[in-house]
Amino acid sequence: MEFLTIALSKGRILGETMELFKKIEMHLDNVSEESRKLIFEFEDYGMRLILSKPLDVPIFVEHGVADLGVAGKDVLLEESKDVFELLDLNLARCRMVVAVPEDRAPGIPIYRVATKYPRIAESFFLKKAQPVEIIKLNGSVELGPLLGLSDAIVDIVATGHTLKENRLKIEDEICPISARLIANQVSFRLKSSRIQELLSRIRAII
Amino acid sequence: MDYIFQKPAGVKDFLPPLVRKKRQIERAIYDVFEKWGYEEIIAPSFEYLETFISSNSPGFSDKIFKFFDRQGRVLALRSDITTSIARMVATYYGEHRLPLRFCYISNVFRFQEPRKGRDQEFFQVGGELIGIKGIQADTEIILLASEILKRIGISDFIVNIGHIKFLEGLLDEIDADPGKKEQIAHAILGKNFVLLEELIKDITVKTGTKQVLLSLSSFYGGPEILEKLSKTPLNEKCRNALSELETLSEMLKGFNNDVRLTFDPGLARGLEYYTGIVFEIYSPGSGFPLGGGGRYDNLMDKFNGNRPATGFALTEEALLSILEKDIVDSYEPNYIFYDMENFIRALKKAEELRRQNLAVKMIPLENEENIYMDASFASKTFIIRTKK
Repeated sequence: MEFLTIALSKGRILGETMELFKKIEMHLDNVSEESRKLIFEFEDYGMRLILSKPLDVPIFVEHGVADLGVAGKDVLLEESKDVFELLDLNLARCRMVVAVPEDRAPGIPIYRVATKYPRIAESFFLKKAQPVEIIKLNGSVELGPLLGLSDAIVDIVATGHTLKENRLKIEDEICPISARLIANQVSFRLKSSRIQELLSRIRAII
Repeated sequence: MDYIFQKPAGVKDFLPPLVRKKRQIERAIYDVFEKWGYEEIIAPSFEYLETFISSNSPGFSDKIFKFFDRQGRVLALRSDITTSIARMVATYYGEHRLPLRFCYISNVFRFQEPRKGRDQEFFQVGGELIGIKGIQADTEIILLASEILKRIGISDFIVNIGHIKFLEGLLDEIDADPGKKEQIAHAILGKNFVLLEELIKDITVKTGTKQVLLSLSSFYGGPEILEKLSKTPLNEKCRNALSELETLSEMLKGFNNDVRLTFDPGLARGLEYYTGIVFEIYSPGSGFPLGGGGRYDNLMDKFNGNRPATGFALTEEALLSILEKDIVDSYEPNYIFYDMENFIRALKKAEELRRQNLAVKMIPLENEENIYMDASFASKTFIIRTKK
């Protein structure tokens, strides 16, 4: 049988994705980041799993080297790749927010925003008709306001612990975020029956 | 790092070995076109911007390379060939009543993020059939595109067929403001089923239509899909589109052994000028469609031409990326090495070989290492020099 290749995001989302497979009774054991392996093949299911950085999942799927992928909506919004969004898996749920220092007085306009998501931030502030300068950082964006680089950050928030520890508060909510099942446009047609079968199994449990 | 002179992103350098493969494919393609009665046509590299934009969706103009002429009018590098052909037909064939068949292999330009098989400059292979209404013409175009693929050595492809009027019919049933409708159309176009579900969750749609919209992701497959769809409650527009698809499926049946067909009522192609049957072609060798096409009956109206038309285009880079490793590059010219005193003798030898229809390359002999001594080329290497 030809392999169905699925690209999975490393990190928090991976554990939840593997739980999902368990729930639909696919026993894809030993898939973890610790093993350092990047490709896992399961002959019984005719499936191949790839572990990649979350940002790369839509790239692999767009080019068709992976048929399907599990990617956060944050990544899909930021990268806007040519992929089909099949299903909201309701995994790794969090929110995309604007956060500012706790002691910031309300009503002062935001001039500078630090974020890993420049496109999302830019379109959000454009819609609010606020001209802002976006500074792209690659991680630990909370440092922006702490060091005085920016007035605010745009980032994903799950529990809010990180914000609290860095004395930031949520000022605005941009959108809810969750993991999506995405498909390559050609695979979606050429491997349609296998993808539809997987889809209906997942739909039955979420 | 050493300094390397840069070229812009999204344009490709074709070196001779790749060009030879490209030309080999093109020769085979032109041969098929000729047999089917399609005549080659060459469109200008640039036109006025208006030629392209009003026929396409507003967002499409972002993808066009623009510049100015000396009077300050906006010019555009061609972003597709079909529009220029429509203009040419309206201008030169207004009185011509027989069907017209044109083909082209041409580069087009679009601002887009470069990725595998889709640069900012890329080559399209296309055919247009103008002046025949209805399904016969669509049948011919689909068979022609399939024939070309088979001829160049791609046989494991499928042709996925949809109908713009079917989608329009579905959208007609939706009772929402134009903005929202546009969003819904966009979600269908981009196959964002999550967004689609969200958008139609709380708007009034007839139950039957809602069901079809919600299950668009699973309405995909062989001709049985059409039967399944015909059992759902649909309006007249959708029904007419369905019956056209059924006729097409029926007509192509005799050729079914060769052409694998699937149907996808949610298929909408990017360009907004399509008015009927649309199709896309996929192959396991490529993560992107090899190409597609469809009916564009209103495109000519804009140029005061008013003739029904249908056509297709394949992306040559996608074809090349599949075939590249299988095509044998058999380039074997003859070499004549000569020293300075014997230049005229060497030239005469070259002339003699060329008259025998052989390819000859002349190389001045500056030192002995210069000589190409690969054994397999020995018979094709001539050394003309004065013995010392």
